[in-house]
Amino acid sequence: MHSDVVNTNHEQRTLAQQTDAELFSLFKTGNSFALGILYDRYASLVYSLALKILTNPQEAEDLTQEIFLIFLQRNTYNPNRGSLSSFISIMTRSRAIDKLRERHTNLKFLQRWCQTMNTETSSFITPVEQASLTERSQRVRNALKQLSEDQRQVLQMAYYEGLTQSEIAQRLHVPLGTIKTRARQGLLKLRQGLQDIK
Amino acid sequence: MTEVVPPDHINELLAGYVLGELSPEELEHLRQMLFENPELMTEVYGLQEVLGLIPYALPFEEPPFHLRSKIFETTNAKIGYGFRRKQFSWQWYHLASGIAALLVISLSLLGLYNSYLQVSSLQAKEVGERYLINMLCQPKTYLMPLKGIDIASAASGSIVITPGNPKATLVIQKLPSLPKGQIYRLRSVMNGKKITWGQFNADAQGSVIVQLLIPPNFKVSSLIITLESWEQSPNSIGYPVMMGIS
Repeated sequence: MHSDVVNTNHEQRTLAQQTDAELFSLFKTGNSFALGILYDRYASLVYSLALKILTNPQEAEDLTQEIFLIFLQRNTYNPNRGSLSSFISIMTRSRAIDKLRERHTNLKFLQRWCQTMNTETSSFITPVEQASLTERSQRVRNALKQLSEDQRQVLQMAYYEGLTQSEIAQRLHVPLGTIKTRARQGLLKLRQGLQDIK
Repeated sequence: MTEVVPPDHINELLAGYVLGELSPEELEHLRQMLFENPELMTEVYGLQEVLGLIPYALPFEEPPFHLRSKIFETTNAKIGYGFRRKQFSWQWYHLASGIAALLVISLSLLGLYNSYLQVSSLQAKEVGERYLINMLCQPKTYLMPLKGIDIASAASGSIVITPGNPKATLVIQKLPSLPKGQIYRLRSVMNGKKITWGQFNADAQGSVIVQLLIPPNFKVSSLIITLESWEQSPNSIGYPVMMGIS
C-alpha cells in the first residue's frame, strides 16, 4: 500500500507540472487528479474574489462551486486567448457582480417592506499556503501601489463594486472624463508593471 | 485613407474597450482600427489578462474545507465521468484484508470525527461527515493511525491521504491545546532528514482537523508530531508528543 501511495503522489506531482490547458484536457478524459490540481490552483482565487464582492461566505462558496462547474462543463476556455487565471477571475467577477446587482434589487424591494435589515455576515479567514500564489499576489499588490491613489480607487470601485464610470463619477463628484482617463491610464500602467506575469 | 492615430490614443482606446466603457463613437473607431490592424488584438488580450490579475491583490481566503469534495461529487454526477478507476489487480485481491481493516479504522475515525464535531454546528457536522465519508470511501485512501506519547499519551488520531488531493488530512482528539507561542509540527523522516509537513494547534476541546501539504518523497511509516515554541526553526528537534503506528 505504501508504494501505491508513493506512486499516486508521483503521478500527482507529474501532473502538477502540467499547464492548465493540459490539465483541462486530461480532466476531460476522466482524470480526477487533474481536476484536483486545477481546483487547488484556483479555488482560493475564485473564493476570495467572490467573498470580496459578495461579502457573504455562503454565497461565495456557492459561487465558487458554480464557477468550477461552469468551467468544467462548458468548453469555453481558449488557452490561445489568455491564461486560465484571468479567464476564471473575469468569469467570477462577472457572475459575482450580477449577483450583487440582483441582491441590490431584492434588497430595495425588501427595504420597502421592512424598515431595517441587518445583513451583517461573519467570515472566516485562513492564510493561503502556496508560495507561487503568494509571490504573484505580492507582484500584483506592488503593481497596484505604483498607480496613483485616484487611478487605483477608480479601478477597484469598477472591479469589486461593479460600478460604471458614470456611477463612479457621481459618487466621487468628479467629471466623467476624468474618471475615464484615470481608469484607462491606471489599467495601462498596471499592464506595464505586470507584463511578464502569465 | 485612414488617419494616423497616436499610439497613446490607441492604447487608451484599447484600455477603455477592455474596461467595457467605450462610447459608441469610440467603439466604432476601435473596430475600424482592429479591422485594419488585427495584431492589436494581442494587446487587448494582454490588457484582459492584467484585469484578471487584479484579484490576486486580495488577501487570499481558503474556501470551506468540504467544497473540494462537493465539487468532485457534483461534477461526477452531472458530467457522468467515472473518475478514473484502475483495473482490478491481484495486488488489490491480496490487500482485501487490509482494506477491511481500513474500513474498521475508518469507522473509528468517523467516531472520532463525530466527537470533534459535537462542538460544531449541525450543518458543519453533516458537511464534515459527507466529506470524510467521501474521502474514506475512495478506493486508494490511505490511513495512518497516530498515538500520543508522554504528555499527550491520551491523544489519538489518524492522517488520511486521498488520491487527487495534494493535501493530507490530519485528525486528532485529546491533544492538549497549546498556549500562545507554542505549536505542534507534523514531520516525517527520510534518509535521516526531517521533513516538516506543517504546523497546527488543538482547539480548546483537544481536537485537530487540518489539511497539510504532502511533501515530496515522504515516508508514511516515520511520522512524528513534535511540540515546539513558535520561534523555533523548522530544523529544530522539538519535543515528540505523537507518532505514527505502522
